[in-house]
Amino acid sequence: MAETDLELIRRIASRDPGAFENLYRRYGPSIYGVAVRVLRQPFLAQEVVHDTFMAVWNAPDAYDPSRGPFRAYLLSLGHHRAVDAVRREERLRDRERRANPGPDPGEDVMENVVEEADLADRRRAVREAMDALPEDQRRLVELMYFRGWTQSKIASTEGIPLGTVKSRVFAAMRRLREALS
Amino acid sequence: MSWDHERVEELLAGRALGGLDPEDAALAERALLEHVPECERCRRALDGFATIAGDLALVAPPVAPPETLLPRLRRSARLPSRRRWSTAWVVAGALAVVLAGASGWSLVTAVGLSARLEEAEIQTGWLVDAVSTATHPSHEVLALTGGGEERVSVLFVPGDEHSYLMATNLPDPRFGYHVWFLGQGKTWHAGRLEVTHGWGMMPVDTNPDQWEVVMLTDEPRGGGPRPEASPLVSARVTA
Repeated sequence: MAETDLELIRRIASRDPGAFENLYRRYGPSIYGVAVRVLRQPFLAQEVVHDTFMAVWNAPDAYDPSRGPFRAYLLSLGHHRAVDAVRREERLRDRERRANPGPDPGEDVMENVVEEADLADRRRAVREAMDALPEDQRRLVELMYFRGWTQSKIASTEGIPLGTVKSRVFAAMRRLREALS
Repeated sequence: MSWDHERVEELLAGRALGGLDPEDAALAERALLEHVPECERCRRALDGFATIAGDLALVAPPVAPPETLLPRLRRSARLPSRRRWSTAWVVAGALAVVLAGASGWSLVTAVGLSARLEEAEIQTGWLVDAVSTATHPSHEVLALTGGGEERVSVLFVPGDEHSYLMATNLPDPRFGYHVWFLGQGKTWHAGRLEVTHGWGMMPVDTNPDQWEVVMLTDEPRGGGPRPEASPLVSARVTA
């Protein structure tokens, strides 16, 4: 039977290389997947994965089990780094035009990744919960989460009042929380 | 200030998704200090939204990372490679050779070979990482210049947090080569550059675009907080 995330993180805290590699094999594809989706640049996505796992290796005690599952904590670490990187990239693009940011890696890449059943089940549940959101709420969550847009940028780009953006995002998060808790 | 639970939860939802504007982000941080610790409802909302925000990453399809990434993580964490023979096995093998009648020199050679293999594996990994950087469409090369034949460059992708220093035609150092980054009144020692037959490379945990000057010095003492020797080569970073 596979070790739980908590068992792995405890072994990482005692500097066990095997646990670190097992954690990478379990979550590396998920973090790389979200980083590629946000950044659309495999090179920068690799940096995100590298820095995320090094953060865990260097500070395993930063995770507080009373705050939620380790899975969500680790995925958040990766997502935050990806959003930081995409915002840095946008600032640089404003400064100088970049040629060929690289092809969209597409979404036909899952067949090579074998996931443990628990993670695959959770992935299915999260996708179903997202699909169940009203379209106007789902779009705002996607713009914030996968493109790193702020609420005011969404409001100005989509032509929606800022207050409406905030209330729709809040409503979406409430629905997701109810569906997935 | 009195806090409205609904308003705090709305802020926490936006914060969890990473999409608050600076003004709301500051307000959320203030709520986290002044209200959330004492409010069970908002604490539950904070943790609940954080979990959702983490799990939203699962909406993206998983993608197998490149095979070079795990070896790189091993190097960064200074973990032993699983493919490499451990020193203990090499010693055991060499001991068997000795017991079988070979000279003790085999033992010394085997242990030395293991260390060299380990060093070669690290260098190969750096080269793979550097090639990955060089093939990125946005990569840039910062050439450090001096008065001699040496060729020293820093390879990087703007905005990334890593870069690679590569050097050829370097004379043997009198003491030891050290790499420095300077800017905005700060000096950062990137590390010692090991040189073999005039050639050397090293990964650097910063990016030239965050600094004003990059330089290589031959330091009499080394390890100090700032360079004491004049630069052998240097470059000014242009924005």
